[in-house]
Amino acid sequence: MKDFLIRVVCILILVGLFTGYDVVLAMRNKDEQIAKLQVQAESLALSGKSESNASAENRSGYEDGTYTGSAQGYGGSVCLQVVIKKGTIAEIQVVSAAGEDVAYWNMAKQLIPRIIEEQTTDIDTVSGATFSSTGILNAAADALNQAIK
Amino acid sequence: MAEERIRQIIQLDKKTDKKTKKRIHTALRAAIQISFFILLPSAYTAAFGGAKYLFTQLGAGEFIQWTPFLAALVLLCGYTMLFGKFFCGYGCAFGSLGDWIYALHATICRIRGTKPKRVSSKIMEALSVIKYLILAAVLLLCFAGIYDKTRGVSPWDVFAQLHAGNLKLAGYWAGGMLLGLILVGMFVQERFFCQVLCPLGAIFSLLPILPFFTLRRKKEACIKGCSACTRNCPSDLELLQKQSLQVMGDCFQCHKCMGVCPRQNITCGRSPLRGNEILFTLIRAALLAALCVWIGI
Repeated sequence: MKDFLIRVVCILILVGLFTGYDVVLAMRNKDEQIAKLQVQAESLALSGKSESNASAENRSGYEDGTYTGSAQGYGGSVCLQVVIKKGTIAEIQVVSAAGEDVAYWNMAKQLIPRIIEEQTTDIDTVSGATFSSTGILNAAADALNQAIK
Repeated sequence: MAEERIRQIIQLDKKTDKKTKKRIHTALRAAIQISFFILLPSAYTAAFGGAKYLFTQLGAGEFIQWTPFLAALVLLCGYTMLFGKFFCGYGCAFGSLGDWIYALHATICRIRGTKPKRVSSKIMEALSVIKYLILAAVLLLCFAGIYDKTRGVSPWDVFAQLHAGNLKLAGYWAGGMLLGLILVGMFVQERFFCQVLCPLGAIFSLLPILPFFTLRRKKEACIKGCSACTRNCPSDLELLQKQSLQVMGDCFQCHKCMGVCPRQNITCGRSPLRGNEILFTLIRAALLAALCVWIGI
């Protein structure tokens, strides 16, 4: 009984530590963001002009259209469809990934929104789900290669 | 309502006689193990991936997010705290593989008319510390951020690749060799990997397991000198009146002891159920499968 209670307390402490860790990290991130925004606001006030026009330009070098790419994943080939709109990666859809293990695929799938967000396939694989990750990144890269002007 | 259902389950179980019951239990366990092996082969790596993920994120100073791996770890730990290591005995693909390889050994022995030799329980107990060291080592490597560099060493990865039908295993010779050694161990000693090496089993063994469904026996009702349960236990456990932590942590819930007990003397801790009723086993297996599907593994 005593052992049991000790174990319960240990688990509660562990769970508490992990959640506490996340909370502290979130607070720190917020502070950093505030500091960054302040610096930005100051520099904006000084220059009086933003450079927002530059980013709207089409600089990516991709031709608009829909492209399919495939690559070797975990248990077979991963096939993705990439939609380019106004020269940017607008949408990525999974065409087929039949050979992938569901658990690993669900982990690796979070790379798809990140590719769209960062507009590149040059991002780190999801640790623990390397094979499915490489499948997604290489398939997207394959599609993007066809889209280069 | 619940009580009535429990009574129904017990009644249904009482109707069948002992020998057929034992046969049914063995077949049922095999069927559940085969289904999990085919349909949910990566539950154990996913759950352990959750533990690795936790320490990788901590080491890198990154956020801990609710990923499918972490969900698998938390839910399997919760399940184990309630039902004991039912997952190990019925659901784990690697554990099932070990059972089948050992069954091969037992069959060969039966044909040759010999009994499988067992490593003494003292040695096994001493060896079983190794799994905690493996757990600590893997988590430390994750924390230090160098675990990814050891790719190709993990025998689980090699097994997962083989299970997925991927036979291109270049760069996996170290893991392949370890897997080979583990298979030899599994062949020689029942549940060798689970007792000695499994880091996920180490986590489960450290959990506070609730006493409701852990097994115990009424010792005063035992035949004098009979130790059929201990001799048939893959972990050489001696069941006691009161639950010791060893029994809670190292019992795989294989229910072999209940099958061999001449006096049907073994029961669940604190419930009117015996613990190996067919329906109860099916309910536990279905619940486990539902949890796995729900979190997406």
